[in-house]
Amino acid sequence: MAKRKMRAAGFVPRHTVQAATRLLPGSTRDRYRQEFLAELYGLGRARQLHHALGVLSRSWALRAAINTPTEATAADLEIVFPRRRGPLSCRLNLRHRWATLRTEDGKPYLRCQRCGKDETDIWGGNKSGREFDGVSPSPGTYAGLGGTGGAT
Amino acid sequence: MADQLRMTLPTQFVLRALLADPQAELYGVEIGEAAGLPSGTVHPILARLEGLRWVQSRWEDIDPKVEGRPARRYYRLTAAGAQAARTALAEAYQSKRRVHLPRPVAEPS
Repeated sequence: MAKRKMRAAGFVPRHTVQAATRLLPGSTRDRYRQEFLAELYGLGRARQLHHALGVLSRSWALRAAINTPTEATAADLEIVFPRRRGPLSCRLNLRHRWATLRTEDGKPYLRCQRCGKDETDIWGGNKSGREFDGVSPSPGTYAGLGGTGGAT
Repeated sequence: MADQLRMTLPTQFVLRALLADPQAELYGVEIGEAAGLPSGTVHPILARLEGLRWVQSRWEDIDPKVEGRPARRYYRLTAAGAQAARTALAEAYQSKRRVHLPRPVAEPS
């Protein structure tokens, strides 16, 4: 017996993700087209459109990632941590968007989602005085300091 | 000569989302939600990680007519990729510099 159908992909989101895949190499186009269409199922109408536009906006980056050659003979991988300057408010330490992350051993720390600075980089320690609540980290968490919505 | 991976913050968030349960398989929307990233952002990152063999993907094994939807593409960290991701994220916490890791070996499919 067939299960209840999820919300199908709408006309505009469907054609938006198809347009996004036109930029991709021919060998991967079908795969990503199917993948993006499958992701639309079950989402609400507005969310489908939002997702499709997000896919379209990142289609050039996806094309670049697919086309980036990986050397089969390379013995090692170089990981580069790009320097993030962030917006002016971050560089002047006026306002950061803190997210609570955890180290390998579970110790919590704060890192700005926009410039990548750690709280210890600025204050040399936990000056906020906040008690970490031990909740698992969520990169989307906006952990304000001092109750002022993130101002430092 | 080394391959290069730019450990941007979105990349770190995707790796953390996958490392939350290394054995679990997630599809693109789930990874984006877990990482707190906008829609579409994760796919270039996943493509790059897949090229470096940190992540492997497969099609969901379902009957679309029964499920009422197309099969999804699920992603999972490889064993070597999980270890490399932990090392890279630990380095990201400690300092921002270049790190060289042994290249992950392809796992038998």
